[in-house]
Amino acid sequence: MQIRLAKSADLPAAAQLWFDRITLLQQVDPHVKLLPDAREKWSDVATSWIKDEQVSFLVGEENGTLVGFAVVEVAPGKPGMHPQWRGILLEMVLDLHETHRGLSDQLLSRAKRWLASAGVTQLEVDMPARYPVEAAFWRAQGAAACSERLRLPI
Amino acid sequence: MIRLAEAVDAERIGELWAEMVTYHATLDPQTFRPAASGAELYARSILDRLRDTDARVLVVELDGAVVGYVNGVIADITTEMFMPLRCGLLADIYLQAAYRRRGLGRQLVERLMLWFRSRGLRHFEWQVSAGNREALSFWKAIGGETTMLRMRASIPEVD
Repeated sequence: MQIRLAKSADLPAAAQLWFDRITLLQQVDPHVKLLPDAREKWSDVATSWIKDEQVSFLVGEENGTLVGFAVVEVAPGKPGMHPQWRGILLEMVLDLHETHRGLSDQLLSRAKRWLASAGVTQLEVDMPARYPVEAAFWRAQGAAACSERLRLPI
Repeated sequence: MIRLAEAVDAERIGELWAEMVTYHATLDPQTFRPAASGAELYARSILDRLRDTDARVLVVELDGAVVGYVNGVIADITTEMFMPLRCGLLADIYLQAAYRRRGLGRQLVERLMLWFRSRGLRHFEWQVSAGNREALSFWKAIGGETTMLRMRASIPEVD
């Protein structure tokens, strides 16, 4: 498996992986609804990531097929707080239809190296509370919950 | 008395924010590390909020002193791939320890909710430090449902 920086030519396949994942997530959170042209809009955003020096867009490729990707960003810290810069995971999407052993670890490892080279010491990841498999993955990576987002009907 | 914050309250709200962060730092020192000028920066952000028609800052004033505040804003919480979803966000709420357990915190939340409702919103959201078990219990007791988790991993320094 090869981990490399994303190119524009990767976007159609990446958009399809993203769409598969987000369709599943929509099923656990009915508050969010995709726009009909969501894939095109995502591709526009992803194009900007490829060009953005504060973002690292990494893809995993196996036998010429894109099987997953991770996007991390160096973002400013909160006003008046340390650290001044933090790493944010913007996306991490894997092929849902086939197993690719070690893919997530390899993507994450490369992303962390890039963040470390930018002087970032923390990576933050948001995930749906009703998706415990992801939380388990991140705990296995040494991550811990730092906050919960709650919702209350008015 | 709960009232709308005014520009003259900004500095005091910055001080209360610094107290809140100091308290949270005891729960989670990795997340809450205020910069030296944190209170001043926060006070400046409050002045911006006071000029923002999609924001509301309320204070609790007792015997002429501001002892607590809530900072709320209306925002679209989705990204461009999703149907817009305007939602109330409770950015911060703080009440000095001596004034808790009198229902003042709940009143602050209710007043903010009234404003959210007047703006046609159907729900609001907020974040609670995972280390603040007391706050999590309070919010869950009033019906808050956890929708997202934020997790954090350390990144080893490069040699």
